[in-house]
Amino acid sequence: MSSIPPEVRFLNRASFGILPEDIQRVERLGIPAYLEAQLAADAIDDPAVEDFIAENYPTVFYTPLQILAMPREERRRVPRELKLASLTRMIYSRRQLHEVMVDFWSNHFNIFHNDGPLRFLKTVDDREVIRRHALGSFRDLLHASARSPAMLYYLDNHVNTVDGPNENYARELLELHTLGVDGGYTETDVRAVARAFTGWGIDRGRFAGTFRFYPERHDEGAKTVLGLHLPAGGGINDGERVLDHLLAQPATARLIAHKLCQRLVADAPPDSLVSAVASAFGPEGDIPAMLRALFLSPEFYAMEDTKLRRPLEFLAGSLRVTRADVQQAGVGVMAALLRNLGQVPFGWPAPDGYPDELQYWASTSGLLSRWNFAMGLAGGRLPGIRPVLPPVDTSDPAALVAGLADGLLHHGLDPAQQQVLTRVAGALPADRAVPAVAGLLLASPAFQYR
Amino acid sequence: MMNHLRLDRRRFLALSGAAGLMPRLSFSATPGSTGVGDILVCLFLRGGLDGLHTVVPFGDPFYYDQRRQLALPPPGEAREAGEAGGVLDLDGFFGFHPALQPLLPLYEAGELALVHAAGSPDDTRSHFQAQHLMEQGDFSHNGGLSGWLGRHLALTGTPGVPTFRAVGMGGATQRSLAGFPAVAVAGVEDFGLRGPAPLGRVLEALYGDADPLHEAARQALAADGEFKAADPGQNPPGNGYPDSPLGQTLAQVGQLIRAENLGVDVVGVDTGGWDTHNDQEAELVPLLGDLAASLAAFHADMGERMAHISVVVMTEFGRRVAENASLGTDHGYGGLMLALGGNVNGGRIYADWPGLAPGRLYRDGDLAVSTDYRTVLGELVQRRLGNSDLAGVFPDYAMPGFLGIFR
Repeated sequence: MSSIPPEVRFLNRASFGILPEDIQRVERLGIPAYLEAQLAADAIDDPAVEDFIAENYPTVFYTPLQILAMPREERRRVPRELKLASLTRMIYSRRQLHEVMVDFWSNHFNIFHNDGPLRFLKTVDDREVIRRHALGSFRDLLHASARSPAMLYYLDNHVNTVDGPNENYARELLELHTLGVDGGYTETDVRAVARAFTGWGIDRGRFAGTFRFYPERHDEGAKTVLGLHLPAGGGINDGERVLDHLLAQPATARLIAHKLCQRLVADAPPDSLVSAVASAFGPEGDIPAMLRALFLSPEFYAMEDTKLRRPLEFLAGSLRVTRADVQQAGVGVMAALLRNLGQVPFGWPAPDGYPDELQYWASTSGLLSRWNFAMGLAGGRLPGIRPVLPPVDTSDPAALVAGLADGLLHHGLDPAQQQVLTRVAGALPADRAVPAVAGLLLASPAFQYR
Repeated sequence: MMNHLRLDRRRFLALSGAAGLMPRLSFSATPGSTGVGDILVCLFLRGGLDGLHTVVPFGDPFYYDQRRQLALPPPGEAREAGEAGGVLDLDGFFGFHPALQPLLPLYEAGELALVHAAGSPDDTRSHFQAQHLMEQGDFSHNGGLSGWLGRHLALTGTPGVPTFRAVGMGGATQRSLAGFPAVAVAGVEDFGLRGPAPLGRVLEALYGDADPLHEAARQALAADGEFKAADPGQNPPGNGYPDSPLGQTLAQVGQLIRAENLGVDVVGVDTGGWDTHNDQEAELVPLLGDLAASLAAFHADMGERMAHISVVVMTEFGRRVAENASLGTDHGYGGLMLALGGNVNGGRIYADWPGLAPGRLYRDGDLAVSTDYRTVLGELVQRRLGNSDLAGVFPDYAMPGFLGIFR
């Protein structure tokens, strides 16, 4: 593989796909200043995308009561609009790092969309938990998630009561959200955590669909969780204190750091980097500090460039770098690709989120689907999807290939690949060579990695 | 023996194709010792089939108490004058829904077995979690990502040899196949790379030896080439399949099996629509009719090959015993499985019947699970798929004695 310039490596991981203006800006500001600008996502104006979403997918801004007020048939729009708004933001948003982290936390605090009220509650969770805190503190995120009606329903905490304890949320909170499976807790801790969260539920009355603590369902007995003593009568504070206690465990910082590194660096990230990122976690779980530690570390730039684009990243990335215009008919094409490749947004049923290892995604039919999609996209043959390929010098096959590689990948190819593609370009008239080579670049290994 | 010959040739083709080895090697692989047996078609009914409305326990008096509107009349009785008679008697206690008529000859011929009150050790009522876990077949909390069939395949062969050993019908492969390189076939007519012939060669050159995706790319291109060479579409589909997604998919499974060079061993098939919360009878009549006609057509299409084919039909859970207010049923627990094939001890219902009396129900009104679905599949894996490493396939299950469903 040809060596990747640091700016390209950085943008490949901090965004879903690189546009020429992105790379120019990084080159002008330098990586640290660009990173700061992306971390301050609220300060980035993005009216084009937000207005489009407000107009086309308005239900992503609805409260639970507004959703409940919709006629039953109308409500089908809600989960569909959330998926499409998410895709739209991945492809077109100027707050690319925010979108990358939204995807990361959506998997960390995974909630399966396609089950009963989760179809509606996930819209609220996406907006008020994941998006609001994606670049804030892990502490806020954890507390917000614990009160999220979608999470309470998904992991059965809404039926976790003193008379009928349900350990589902407690177990996943320890295993997946904070300490990790080897984080040093016991079954006794799981039971105690479940007792601490009894009564955390969902309002069914005036504020239907919002968090509500039911004191009469809460187990008011004393509890001990990982050495933390919770005296009797703690009420809602039991759960709050458990969350903060978990936050303070080194295993939690370690788990989050490892996952971030696995997402943004490599399937098996170097230990030194994980430790450095974990050190930046701090008392509150400082997400920007962790991202600085990661993106500004030498290890980040020294790793092999083989972090696979998972299906969503492949789809969003290929549409982004081709500045694709997606019309109504194109929505079905996108949905079919994601279904076939097995990564519909919020479509992973288990609480651990979509896998993040090349081995899981590298399938025979998956590659065939990617290749057909790439060739169809660049060739303008996908219904309802119109790409805009980078302008290139078509007078010379080698220049054509180099120009398209620069415009779509932003780095050179290794000589063998350059040679193969130059031969393809040389064998075709220019008007066919451009889409063919562009399609092959999107189908090539270089674009399957980030 | 026919099956063994087929396997020999397939193995030979795969080995010689993959590594240019001499045929000598292929004959040294003793069929059976490699754990390979029947071709398996695993049909998953997505949505939660109401087993009680399919194989009806008309002999359980509580059935009629719990299903005042929905219950089907006992054999020979019609609900209303002019309606067709009741359920089709199977053993004096259970009866087929009348729409399953096409399966009755297979049941009577002893090739179709039914397992009632079967299900998962996990009692979630979420379709997707239930399917996910059932297909994973590993209920230890930290089960890996592989599926039960993927583990079976990996334990009995080399990954991706032959390329089409495991096929998932549809755009994506079934979760049960995860852990083994299975190929998704959405349709025999449009499988593979779309583009001019040199496209494959160019992609092959782009995915060089050192690339982490090299092996997956090689497999994908091999699949494309092998499929086009075997051209399963050239054998016209068998007769009598319903013109429904399921019927047409099974017709294609038949085409794939007949294209012996592909070496298909395991096929995952899905069919949906079983989540019958409303107006269940109106929804199930066409679905059950389609299921029965499709399976019967597949059986007829495969003919003598059925001696070496096993079909299992499963669903993620059964439905609530009591009907709901909209003439449907809600998610429940204990469900139904079917096994079809030349080596099935059929014509029987395997059920340690938990009963429908209120005190016998699971949770707040579900049919209990008296047969763990892994017991059925474990027997299938050992007796028909020639793999006795059941701990490898269902790692956290202490397999009880088999029920004797398979020979």
